[in-house]
Amino acid sequence: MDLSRRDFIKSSAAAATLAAATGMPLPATAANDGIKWDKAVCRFCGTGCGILAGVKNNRLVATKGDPDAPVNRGLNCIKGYFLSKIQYGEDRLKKPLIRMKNGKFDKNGDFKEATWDQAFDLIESKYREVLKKKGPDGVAMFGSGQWTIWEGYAAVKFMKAGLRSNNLDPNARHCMASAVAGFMKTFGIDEPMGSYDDIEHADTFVLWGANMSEMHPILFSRIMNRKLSNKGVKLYNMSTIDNRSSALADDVLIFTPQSDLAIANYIANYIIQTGAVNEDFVKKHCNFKVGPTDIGYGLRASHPLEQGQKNRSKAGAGKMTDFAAYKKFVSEYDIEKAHKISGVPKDKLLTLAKQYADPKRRVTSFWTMGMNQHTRGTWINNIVYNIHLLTGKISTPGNSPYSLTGQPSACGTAREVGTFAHRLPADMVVKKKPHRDIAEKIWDLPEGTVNPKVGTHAVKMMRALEDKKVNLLWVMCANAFQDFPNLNNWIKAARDPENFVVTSEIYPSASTQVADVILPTAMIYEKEGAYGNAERRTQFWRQQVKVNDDRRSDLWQLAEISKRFKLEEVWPADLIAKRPDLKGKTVYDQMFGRLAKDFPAPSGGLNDEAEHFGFYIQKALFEEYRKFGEGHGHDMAPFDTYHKVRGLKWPVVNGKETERRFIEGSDPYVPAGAGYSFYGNKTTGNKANIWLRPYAPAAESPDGKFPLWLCTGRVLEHWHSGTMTRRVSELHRAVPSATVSIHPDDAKAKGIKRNDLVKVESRRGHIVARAEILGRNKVPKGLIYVPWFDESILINKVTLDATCPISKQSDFKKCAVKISKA
Amino acid sequence: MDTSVTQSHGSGVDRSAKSGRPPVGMTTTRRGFLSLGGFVGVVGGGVALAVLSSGAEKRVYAQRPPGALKEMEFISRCVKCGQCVRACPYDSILMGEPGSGVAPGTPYLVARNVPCYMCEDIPCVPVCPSGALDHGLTDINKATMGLAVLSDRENCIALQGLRCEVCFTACPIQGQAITLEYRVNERTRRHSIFEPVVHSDKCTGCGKCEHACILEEPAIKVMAVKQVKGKLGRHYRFGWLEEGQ
Repeated sequence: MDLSRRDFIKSSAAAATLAAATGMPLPATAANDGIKWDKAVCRFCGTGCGILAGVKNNRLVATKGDPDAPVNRGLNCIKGYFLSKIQYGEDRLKKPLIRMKNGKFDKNGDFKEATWDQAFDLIESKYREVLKKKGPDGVAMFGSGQWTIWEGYAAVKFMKAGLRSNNLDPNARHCMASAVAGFMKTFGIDEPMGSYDDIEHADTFVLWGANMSEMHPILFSRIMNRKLSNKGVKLYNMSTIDNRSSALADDVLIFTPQSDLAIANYIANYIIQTGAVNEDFVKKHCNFKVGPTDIGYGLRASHPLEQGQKNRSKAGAGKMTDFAAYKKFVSEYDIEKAHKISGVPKDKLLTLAKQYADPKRRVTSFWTMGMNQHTRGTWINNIVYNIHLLTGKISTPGNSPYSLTGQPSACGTAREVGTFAHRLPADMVVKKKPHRDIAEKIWDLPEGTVNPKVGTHAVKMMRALEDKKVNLLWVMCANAFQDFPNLNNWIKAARDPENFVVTSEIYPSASTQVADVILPTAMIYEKEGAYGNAERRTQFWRQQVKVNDDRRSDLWQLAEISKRFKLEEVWPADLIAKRPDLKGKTVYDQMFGRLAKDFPAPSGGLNDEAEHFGFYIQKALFEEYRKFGEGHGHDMAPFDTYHKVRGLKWPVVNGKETERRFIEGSDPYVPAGAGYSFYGNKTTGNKANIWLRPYAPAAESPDGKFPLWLCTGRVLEHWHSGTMTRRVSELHRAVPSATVSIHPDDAKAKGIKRNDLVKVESRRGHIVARAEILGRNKVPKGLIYVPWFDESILINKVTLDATCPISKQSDFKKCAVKISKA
Repeated sequence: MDTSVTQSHGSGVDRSAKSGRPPVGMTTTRRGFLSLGGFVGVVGGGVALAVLSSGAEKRVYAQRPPGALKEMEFISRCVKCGQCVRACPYDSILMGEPGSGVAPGTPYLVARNVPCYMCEDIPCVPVCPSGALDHGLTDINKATMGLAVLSDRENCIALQGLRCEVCFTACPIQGQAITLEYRVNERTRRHSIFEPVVHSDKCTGCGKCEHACILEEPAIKVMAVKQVKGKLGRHYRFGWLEEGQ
């Protein structure tokens, strides 16, 4: 591979330069230690740091930050430091496991090693059983924003076209569905308009519920650099807890959970009241919309909170209104009201509002889970866009409303490929006939193949399992039975004798524990892959080590299982009748094998899947996939290009990436003379929507019985549910278990001291963990914080499965609990 | 850059080899000590070198439980009853055995293995029958079991610009005993360095930082205060710290 050699030379040169600059001695063996270096991407967060993977004797022995990667310039965080260790935990799953008794599958049996054929025979028989009984609605797949692009795409094809079931949803539903809904409602097209380079141009940073210091460590390092290098740059940390992102903050605004809605509307009101509206921009580029407010909390229809909520099923609806109506609407959000609801001192609110209102300041707002995991997540996303649109602070360097993603390919896979229950690739949706037509044409399928019925979103999927409407659930590249809220119900549902759960995993996890079949899965550097990060940057890597045992990639699993079904077995007869030539063909033949002829297997290098299937399956899928986005703002470069570059920000038109979208000069889709074009909203004049979104209380607030808020989240040292990072002994030693952060006064009231065991209990369940008082997170009085990485402390047994009714994203940040000394 | 590597390294090897006793409080004992000596030499920071060189003369450092009197006094008072060992809920406190490098029967900690978890009620102190652990210590935050020192500035990944800061996070007196100082990463000019800085007036020497450090050999270590601390000449005062007369 020429590229890797070049990379190697370049990186060696960079290392030598570094050594010269710092006086660091280079290890004598650096040039000839037998390690082969090749570019790859970090496995963890949405930042998308580039790395160089070092392989020797078919083992990933070392990694380094890629000095040429524009995101991280050779740096990594503590998780990235351990990338070479995550594949090699002692308990790595290496054989398929089936619950068996007396040599046969038994729901209550013990896990026994099996062959892939045995595992797939069983899975196939269960699919047949359920499809016969319930049709496509009876099967579901829970996937991931950590799938590679082609794995997500393969899942879409297998589920949505092969089995004709839209019951496919990713863990990204828990992560950024509200961000997606926010983008779609405001701009009509998904994903951020800006790029990370906005950091180097902003005068003011506002974090709206994003502990970037721990969750996007390298990006936060860039913010800090901007602040340290330029006097006058301001940083405001808005949060419900005082966290590590308060470092160097000019102000920390600790607000009552859910009250961000009121604060954001106050800022919009302040902008209007002080004449700071960019009238020209608003007139030319904005529409105003209003939607229903009696939309409930995404709970089951029988829940008391859902009663009288007439627009539960039309939560996302909206109609046009005007600026006058908007002005009137936000006018009630004065500083008094914002202060009263949020508890934030008025002077702090005013200072923040002034940052946005000052036409001379370039403002970048960052947010992640604080705004997305929110029962009004779509609304708060919309309102923050409102602020940027009112002031015209958008799409220019440093002016950027920036929705970050948590997962490495939440954008690239979950969103762009569309692995959601309602989506197809490139922002298309199953319920629109023209979109289904496009999909069927690209996939060479008869009209009517793609099911128009929106599938079960994540929480609904688990409820359907509980109700036995879905009987077969395949969890892939996610740890569903640790990451869903209100877990007790779903664990029970998974173990119901009528249900069958398949888990594809790399290590034993909470999800393998409840599974009936466990499939040992190849992980990131054991396969060729591609991720898309939070700045629309698509990045590829090659397979680094060969898999010499029974582990198989998700792509292999999806393609192989699809060999098990003939189209006429899973499709209705009238569909087959439209295309008699498809009779006798398998799902695999039509979804995957059909593409083989144009994509011969690559010569040289590792590619286990290409070797197995006999063609360059990743390239074939990507080249087909990118047809979806061509010509309407989602263009990708050809497959081979990405193996040569450090990623490209889409849309990539005529070989050129797009730094900022919606603005003339940068975005090729904005016509000359237009200035801006929010072309996602073509039918409404290419304008962005300013939405009238009010404050609404949280689904469950503290009361006499459960007097504290519970907020959940993550820590810098561990990734998500800890399956990978808890296999790294150093990280485990650094942060061995989840703790409960408690305010000193709340602890004292309950006689709780540091390191005491504490019981945290809600109406749904409880956990026991050790108390941390004034640790990394300084929680306010009345709120406790528990991270969810620890499988021995399943805090999601305590959380509530309320969702944003528009985005269907769960609110992991707010429910009511009580604590006691355990 | 400083090139006193050979000299420093050489002296470290020499002294260590002669004594034949592994240093306590560092997990990999002699080898760890040697490589530390090497790194310090490369840093070439005059202060760090001096501290460690002088420390090397009394290489053996036993981290004692909270409230321990000064080392000589402690050893003479301790009746080697093991009460503190039993009282510790975390099994942090070990008892010196022949060959362990500490006076046999006296209690000590190896922070890299199990640090002091700084119980608010300090159960190990009141049980001490001899007063070798000072019963006057009632606030664990006032304990002085030693002093953490970021001894290897080259291998500390935080100082290279990676985002780690595990020692800072692990510190039970977070934000006081260890703070983070921020500066521009001059190499990338885009990122910043989050430098953990230990403050001797707040550090109790509990060793949680050394325990948590994710390097193969910790870059931050707890040492005897005497080994680490310098002393300003009495003829000079920092004007910005001591105001007035």
